[in-house]
Amino acid sequence: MWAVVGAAFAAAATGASAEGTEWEPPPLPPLKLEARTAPLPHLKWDQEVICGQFAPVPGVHTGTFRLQCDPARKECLAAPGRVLDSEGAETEDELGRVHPCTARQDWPARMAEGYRFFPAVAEVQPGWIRDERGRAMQYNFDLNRRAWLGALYAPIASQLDPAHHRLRADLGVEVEVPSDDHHTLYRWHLLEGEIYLGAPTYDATLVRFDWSEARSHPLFFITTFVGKPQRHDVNVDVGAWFEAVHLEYLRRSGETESFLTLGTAAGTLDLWHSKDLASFVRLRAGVGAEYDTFRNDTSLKPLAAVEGDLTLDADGFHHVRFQAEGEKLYLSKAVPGRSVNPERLRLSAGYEVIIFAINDQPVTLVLDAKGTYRDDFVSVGPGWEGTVGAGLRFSLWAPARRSAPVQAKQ
Amino acid sequence: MVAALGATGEECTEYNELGEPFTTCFDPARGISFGVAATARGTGAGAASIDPSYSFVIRYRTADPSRNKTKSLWFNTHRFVETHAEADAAVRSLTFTAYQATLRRHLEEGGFVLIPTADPVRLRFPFDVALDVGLFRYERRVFEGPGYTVEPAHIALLFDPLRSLAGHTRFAFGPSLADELRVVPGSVVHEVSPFTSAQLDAGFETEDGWWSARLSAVSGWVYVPGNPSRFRTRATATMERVLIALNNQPVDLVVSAFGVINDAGVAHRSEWGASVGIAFRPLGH
Repeated sequence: MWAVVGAAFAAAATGASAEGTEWEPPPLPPLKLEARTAPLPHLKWDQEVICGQFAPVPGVHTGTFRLQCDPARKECLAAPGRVLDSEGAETEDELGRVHPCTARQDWPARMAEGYRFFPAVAEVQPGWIRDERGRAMQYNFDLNRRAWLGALYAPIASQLDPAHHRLRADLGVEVEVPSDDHHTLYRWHLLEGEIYLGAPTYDATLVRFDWSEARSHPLFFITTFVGKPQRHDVNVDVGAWFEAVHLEYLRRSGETESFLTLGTAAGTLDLWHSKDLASFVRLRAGVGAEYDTFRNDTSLKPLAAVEGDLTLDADGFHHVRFQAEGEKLYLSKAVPGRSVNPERLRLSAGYEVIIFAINDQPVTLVLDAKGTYRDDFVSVGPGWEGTVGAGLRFSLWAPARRSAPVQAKQ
Repeated sequence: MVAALGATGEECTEYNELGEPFTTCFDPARGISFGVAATARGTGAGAASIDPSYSFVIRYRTADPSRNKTKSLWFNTHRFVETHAEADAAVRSLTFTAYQATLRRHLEEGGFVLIPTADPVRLRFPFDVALDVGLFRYERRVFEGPGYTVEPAHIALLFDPLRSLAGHTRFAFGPSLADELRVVPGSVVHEVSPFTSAQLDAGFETEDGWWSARLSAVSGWVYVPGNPSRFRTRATATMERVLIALNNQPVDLVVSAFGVINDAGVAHRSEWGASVGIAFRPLGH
């Protein structure tokens, strides 16, 4: 951006006077800054930024500043054009995540009009903050667009196995893509997996895809005529949900079971969703095909669920997820010691919060609880098991949310 | 800046007395490498045997600005279809890795930890963060009898204090997650290492690419349901030196050494080995 200013000077400097003597640019205006205020004010992202070239000032030897002026108050905010070091002196690093600025060199005239100049911090892109040295840091994270690795302590209490202590590692990739009109949000979940040690469980899904839709017109509306007539819109926001290749491998009390869901298709009905569709509470029902890898048997698996994924704050720090899902197997071979139509009920609820970020990559604390009832284990018998988890996740990517507010936090 | 992976342009081109150009700089992380080597392998019992071995790998590396986190760069190295084979009956074996990559993100302003308190705190964090990913590693050791090993995937979160901007040096370490199947007739043993192993990836190369060295190691515990955990270690050190170039395509001298504790083959053997060979590496500049 400073190239704009430099080019202006260069163009002027290439001209020579009629008399043949070298033309010299006018001296740079001195910038008299008012006393610092604490905290320093910030230039605003949604207003024009002007580049100013001044005579060197203490700490800013290049004299380059970014400014926003208020003609009514005859005040300008002036932010150094480069990152400052810990002593407050200018470094070679140009500011990142700033607007292109407009070159203007009418500062002597403005100073003559009585403008005052206040030290400030440069503007910064939505979703980021800038400290007083000018360094930008991401402060808004979209955890629905990330690749994560996590490790948790996840003890278990199970009627199927005497083990108690467990560790869990999890990983996955999550991608959200809105449609052009932002009325539909497509969600991809890739290579999501959980590995438990202790009472071993491996749970992994190759790919899961779903979408939510916010219809621009209600399915129907009801007008009431009690008192003042009122219109009540009834929206039916249905979507779809698909899953391919989901493996659940468990070992309980010396017995191992391995169930491979080849594919599942389901419909969804949003009970509620946020305006950007990132948060939702919905019903889901569908059917899948499950393959018992030990008995070479394929079953039909109807399932129904109520689930939610809520981002609680604008900066994407707090997340709540919950799910209650029931499934039952049909058309499976009769297995002695197991019910004819095995069934499972899975309950889960979790909270995830960003506790710090390393190099703009969030590290989250994960707290969750899961309960499962199942009667698909031969000889072990039906039973409940519950587990709670506490641990950390490291997320890659996690850009600022699409709805990141301007000047998220100063 | 992004093109800073090795010397480029005029400084990498010299001319003979007829004015014809020839390349003098190479990129150790690029090219299609065909190698042959003499490999010694031992188990600590008896003398080591020395046998020919053959290798193949496609290497590629990139350095690009991050698209969503500006003022940071991604230094990525990729290795495709890496294959190592020994044909002699006494050591007949094949090791194949479909894909392996190290993805390192470098912040121009230096690493930091942001504590999101009411007044956010920025603490210095002197590491680049990298991700090491491997997909489908297959190992078949015919000389051990039936059975093979498959590692569907591994992933490691690495921290690199060297933070090289040119990409010529790295010393990255961190926890690793791996999933492995050991298959013998009538049995499939599923092994996992859920961040219970540590991985090291260190490397050095000269700016002209004539010399390069790499040390990769993984060490830690793997778990099999119903069995006690097993400690295992694998390490490989490799040094390469460009000897000559054929039509500007480098031919490398490759010297390597490896050691395995409780992890070689389906029988979890311990062994060591070393090899000396040459590799022709087209497109290695």
